Amino acid sequence: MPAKAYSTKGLQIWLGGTEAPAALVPTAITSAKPAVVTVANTAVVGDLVYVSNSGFPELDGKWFPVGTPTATQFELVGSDTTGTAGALATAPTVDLHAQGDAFDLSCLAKTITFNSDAPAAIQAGTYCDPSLAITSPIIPPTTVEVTGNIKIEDPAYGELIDAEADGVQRSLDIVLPFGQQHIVGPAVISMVTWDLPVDGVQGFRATMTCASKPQHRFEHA
Amino acid sequence: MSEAYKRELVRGWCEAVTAAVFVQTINDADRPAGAAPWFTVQWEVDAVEVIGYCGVSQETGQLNIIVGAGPGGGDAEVAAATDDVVAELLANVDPQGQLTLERANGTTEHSAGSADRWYRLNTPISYRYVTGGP
Repeated sequence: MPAKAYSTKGLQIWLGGTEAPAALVPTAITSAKPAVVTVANTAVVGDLVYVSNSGFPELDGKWFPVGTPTATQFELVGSDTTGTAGALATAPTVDLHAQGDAFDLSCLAKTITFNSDAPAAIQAGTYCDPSLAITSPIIPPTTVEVTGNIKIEDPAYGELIDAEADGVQRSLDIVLPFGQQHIVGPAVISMVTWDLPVDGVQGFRATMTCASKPQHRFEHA
Repeated sequence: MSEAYKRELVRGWCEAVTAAVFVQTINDADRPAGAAPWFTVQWEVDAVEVIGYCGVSQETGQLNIIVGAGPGGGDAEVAAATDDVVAELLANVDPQGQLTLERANGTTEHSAGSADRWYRLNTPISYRYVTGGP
């Protein structure tokens, strides 16, 4: 296979709105790669789902892009339940986060940086071992920093400011161009600040805090 | 990156300048009659960089403001005209917000000695031109 590197031109950054997700109730989930959800389906390509209490440990507590939707089913892109020990729970829940409720930051943004720190070391020195340190059980949350250009004419900028004010957890879907699929997860806009150089463009810096680390969802070759 | 928009916009600004006569094409055989100060502009691109995922890019560079006058008049008249032309141009605002004339840089001599008869000063104005996106 020839070496390739794909450009980020055309990348999209969808941040969910404040609308409550639609609750879908699956009647079946296949043991497959990708898993297929049977449901009275309203999801379309571009939507995200959050799966909880499905009975499948490979799916629960995770975010997936919707793939190949029909009236009765859709795929969980990047999922794999082929070797599962799970079975459909009695009251499975799939929360549908429609892209139509989200806003696209890609025309404002110029950089996206993911930051994940290792757990901190806690000093626990004793007389016998003054240098003893133990690793904190608390894993620092992943943060995503987005920098961009201030443009109040773009509705996404106003949405971003509102998102900081309301502190509501939203879906984050970064659509990679050239078919490189999605990086998805939950995010709270924890801070928006501004960069105003004396010789340059008016910029902002938004920090998103993720309750769980965003994941790259795609069908493995 | 619309070259035409940038040039048409600045052409309009130059034609509205009152401190000197705008000469669009400097290699014409005739310039404005007499020794009155005249000026022209030259674009000089420094860099183009992408500043947004949906195709927004930024060009930065210099808009060289070249002010000239006839021989034998010294530099005072040209220098004064330079100050006024640059000030008038810097006062313009692009209604689309795409082109910004940021600031004037140092003025330099732009004459060719005895090779041509026009005495000229060049003042580069730093510009920023943002285009692209929906």
